[in-house]
Amino acid sequence: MRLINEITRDGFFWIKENLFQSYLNSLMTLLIVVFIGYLFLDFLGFLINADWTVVEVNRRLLLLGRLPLGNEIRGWLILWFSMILISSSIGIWGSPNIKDFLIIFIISLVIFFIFGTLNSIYHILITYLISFSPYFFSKYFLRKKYFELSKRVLIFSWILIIPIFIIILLIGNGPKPNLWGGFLLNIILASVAIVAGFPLGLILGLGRASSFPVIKIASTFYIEVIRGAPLVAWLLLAWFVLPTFLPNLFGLNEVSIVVRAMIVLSIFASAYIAEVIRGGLQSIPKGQLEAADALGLSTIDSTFNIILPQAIRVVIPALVSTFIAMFKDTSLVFILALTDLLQVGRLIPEQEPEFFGRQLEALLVVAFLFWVVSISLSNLSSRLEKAMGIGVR
Amino acid sequence: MFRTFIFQNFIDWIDRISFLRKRKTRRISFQLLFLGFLGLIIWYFVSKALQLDLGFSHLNSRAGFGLSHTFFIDYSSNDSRWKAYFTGVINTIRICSLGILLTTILGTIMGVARLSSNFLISRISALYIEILRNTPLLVQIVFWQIVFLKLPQISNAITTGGYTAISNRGILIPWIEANPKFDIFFAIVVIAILISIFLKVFLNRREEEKGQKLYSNFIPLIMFFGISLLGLLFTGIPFNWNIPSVAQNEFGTYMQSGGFELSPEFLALLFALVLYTGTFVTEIVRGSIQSLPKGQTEAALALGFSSYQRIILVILPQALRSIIPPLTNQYLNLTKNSSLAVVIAYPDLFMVTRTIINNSGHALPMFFVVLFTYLSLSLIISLIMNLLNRQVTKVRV
Amino acid sequence: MDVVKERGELKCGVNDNLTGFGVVMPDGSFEGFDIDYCKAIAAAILGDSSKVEYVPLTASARFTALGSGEIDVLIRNTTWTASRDRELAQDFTATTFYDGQGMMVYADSGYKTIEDMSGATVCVLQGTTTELNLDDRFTKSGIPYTPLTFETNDPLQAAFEEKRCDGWTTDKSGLASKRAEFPASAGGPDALVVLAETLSKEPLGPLTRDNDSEFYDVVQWVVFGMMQAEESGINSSNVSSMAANPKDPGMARLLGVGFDGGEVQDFQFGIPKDFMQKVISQVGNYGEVYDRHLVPLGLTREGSFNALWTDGGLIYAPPFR
Repeated sequence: MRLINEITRDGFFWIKENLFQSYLNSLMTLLIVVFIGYLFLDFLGFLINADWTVVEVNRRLLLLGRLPLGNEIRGWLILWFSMILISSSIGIWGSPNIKDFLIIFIISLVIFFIFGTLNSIYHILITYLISFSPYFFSKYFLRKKYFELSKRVLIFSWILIIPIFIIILLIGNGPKPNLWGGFLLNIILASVAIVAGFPLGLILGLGRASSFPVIKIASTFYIEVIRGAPLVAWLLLAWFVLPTFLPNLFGLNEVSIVVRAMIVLSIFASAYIAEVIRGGLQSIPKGQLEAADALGLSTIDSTFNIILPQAIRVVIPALVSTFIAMFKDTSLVFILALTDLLQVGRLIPEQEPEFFGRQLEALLVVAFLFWVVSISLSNLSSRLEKAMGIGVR
Repeated sequence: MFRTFIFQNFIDWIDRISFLRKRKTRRISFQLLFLGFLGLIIWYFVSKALQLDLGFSHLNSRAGFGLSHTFFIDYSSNDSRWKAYFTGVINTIRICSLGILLTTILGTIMGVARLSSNFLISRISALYIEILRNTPLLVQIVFWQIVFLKLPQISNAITTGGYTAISNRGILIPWIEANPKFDIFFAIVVIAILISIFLKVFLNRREEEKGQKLYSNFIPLIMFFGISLLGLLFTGIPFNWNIPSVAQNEFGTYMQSGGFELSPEFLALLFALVLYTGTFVTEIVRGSIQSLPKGQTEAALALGFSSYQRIILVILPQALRSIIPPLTNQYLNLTKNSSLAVVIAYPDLFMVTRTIINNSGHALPMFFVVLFTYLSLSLIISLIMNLLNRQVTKVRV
Repeated sequence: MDVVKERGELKCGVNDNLTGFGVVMPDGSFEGFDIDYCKAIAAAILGDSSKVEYVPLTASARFTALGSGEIDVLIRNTTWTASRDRELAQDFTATTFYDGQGMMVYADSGYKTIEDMSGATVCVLQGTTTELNLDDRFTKSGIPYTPLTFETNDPLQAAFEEKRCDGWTTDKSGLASKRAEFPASAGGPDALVVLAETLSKEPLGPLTRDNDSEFYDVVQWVVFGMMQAEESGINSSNVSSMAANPKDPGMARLLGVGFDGGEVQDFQFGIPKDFMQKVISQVGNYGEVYDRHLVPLGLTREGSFNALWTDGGLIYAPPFR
């Protein structure tokens, strides 16, 4: 009884301390409660009247676009492959707590609830198995015995993830890039943009920090021009004039529009990555370079062996943020008439007369998918930041 | 290491060539080499570009298409494509300036709220960031477009007391409209401004000379409002209210007229841009407030400032110094992101450009026009913000 | 054309959201009047109507797709105009469907003609001749209007359904198909009226790139061949018997067989002589294609320009000779 008394007293104390400190504060609290309540009731009203058949019928289109029938297994393989990588990476490097597991579990349940079917029940079970077992395997076996080796293998697989995705999609008479669509397209485009944009961005970032004036000016010009115009404009340029500029070699000038989108997104990403890298370079204390100089190392040596490894380490969280930004930006490929997740979401409510007025349902599912990926990545980024002690003074 | 090995060999090899042994010669020859390489690439692109039609003359021909939003410029389809383009530029500037203003307000409020001691307020701000920051802007634009379409149809428009009209055709608010007397009034206001500026300069000088306080801000302000008010009384009321109305025409169709129209497309774009960019501004404001030494808040507390005074008078002015550079970046992002208007039938400069390209080809020159316009807009914003930054950092606290 | 043969697949730019002309089915396949022409061309060149890669395109993206080599042929209810033929460096092959731009309004709006629509808001697609015709029409009558220009069809449709605009203008065939499937909850087809006035002539047909006359000729004569087949009474069910035993020399020339044991005439298209046999057996003649896709929309052929010339229409193929 005393315990309950104490808890309620503490509860009251907490409420008073945190919600009703002053008159102004109390007023604000009340206003916000009313506002939130209103929004909540609105949302509840929407949920009650919602009809999700428009999503249910078009699950496949949303996730895979117009990928021909019989190719779903490619999508599953990509999911499984990434799950193995993610889960074993967490096992090797991460230290998740029970709350993280719970969140992951709930989110995956929601996703499967939306997108799963009776036919895919085995695939879903396999997905769960694949998502959780590598974690335990790597945590309790690899981490103890083959830590260094497994770390290298993992890093290597992460670097190779894009070629592997593309091989999974194309192998054995797979569908043409033109037929990739839906959420799959967003993920592939964003990953390619970052992976291909990174080396270019690295060179540009170093170039901008270079002591050679010509190189510095050229890099700065490139970065500023690319950042000067919006991505849609660049995509449009790719659509209209890139074929004229690509050399007439190996059929390069008639590459598919998806590949063209990849080229533009990579170029666009490289300018932003270059700025991130430059920030990293600036954060390295001057003393490092001077020490390297004192040791008699050449500029190239000190840049590649001393400065860059540190700089890249520092910018990893910022790179993740760039990835999130690119990932969100992939929704702009509608301008190239590609049917990414958002385009599918806009298309399906007009497909059948009975879906009339069901745009919000479709859009919410689209937003949810984008959001889940972005928020997990941004959590990852802030954790990395903490783990590396960046931003702590 | 392998890479070091390659570089070392390369450098050794360079060292062996005698005239390259000098550091300076090496630097210059390397840059020349790079310049030549760059020149080759540029030459390739230019030669390819020359195969295309690069003229701008097609922009002088008749546009032939209408635009749903014209503002400031009186555009009709009979005008040239140039004028259509400038209408688009004006539309972009209109949404960006309003967007920047509202984003700043929202971001500041949310940033302060994020650090509020009121649990609910800080959670709301956190939730706002978590949700809206991690959803693509385009999704949000489409969302607001749908939401505004779900407003009542025009036949059921909400007319609050006959002063506004809200429907999915747009939100009409009462607006002032100049009548003939406005020119006189306008002249008086201009004179008032001139007098006030003159007075301000004069008083400032006197203050410096005499070293006593002469209210150099207050008196000119009073002067300005006084003269303006007198002008208002002198001319009578120089405005008419333009009150919106919704009425049926002779066929029984509902039509809206009058007032200032905020179209659903404009509002959807504005909402999305402000709410999305606002999340980033919130984080900037929060970060810079947090980076202030704790002593500032404590000192303000010790001086007995209320929490409102503390924020407005002590914290924000100091935070402003570290806010402005990243804030400029967000303003530029907002400007560039306004090009997403193309999805929701708001004719900004990018959408008009697309229409022109579709009607006439000439994609590359039009692209240069777009690039030039966005770069100029970015430059203008950066300049203004730099000036502001200089003002802020000039005053040493 | 050699590119197509080598690739073993025809890249065909199509519409994916216009019932009757080109629409994606839930399983990802395509269907429609224009789609059948893609199939016919693939059947003629590659011998198999399924060897088509469909590239769905928006109105504003289609010409660049063709110009840049993204697609081989554009069959996406595209209007034949002088500027497109010359300025955009593309070749129109033949008219497969005679259309005209119309205006659809809500029945309860009371509008009977375009002259009535003073101050109206009109929804229109970006990058189409419709946008320009619309302006020409209202400028001609000197009445004000507000065009609401959309990038894609779906948001336009959503806006019209919510009565964001008073009118919707596009090709009449398109309006008919949209009207036929107008949601019952928004009033169904009866809530809408397509005004009688035709704003413009819209002859629709396949396009190829400039300076590819060999491929151009094949596309053109496949289209004509399907018209001729209908005129001669050859359809997908009787084509094999007709080929085995052609009724007259003209039919034999069309089907690429010898008449009465005579020589086979070779038109030197660079594809098998019996290409029309494959086209007709796999896809059908003009009438069959029309009946399959457009009649269900309520677009009747009798009395329209799309009837055979022998029935008073404009469907007329130059002779196969």
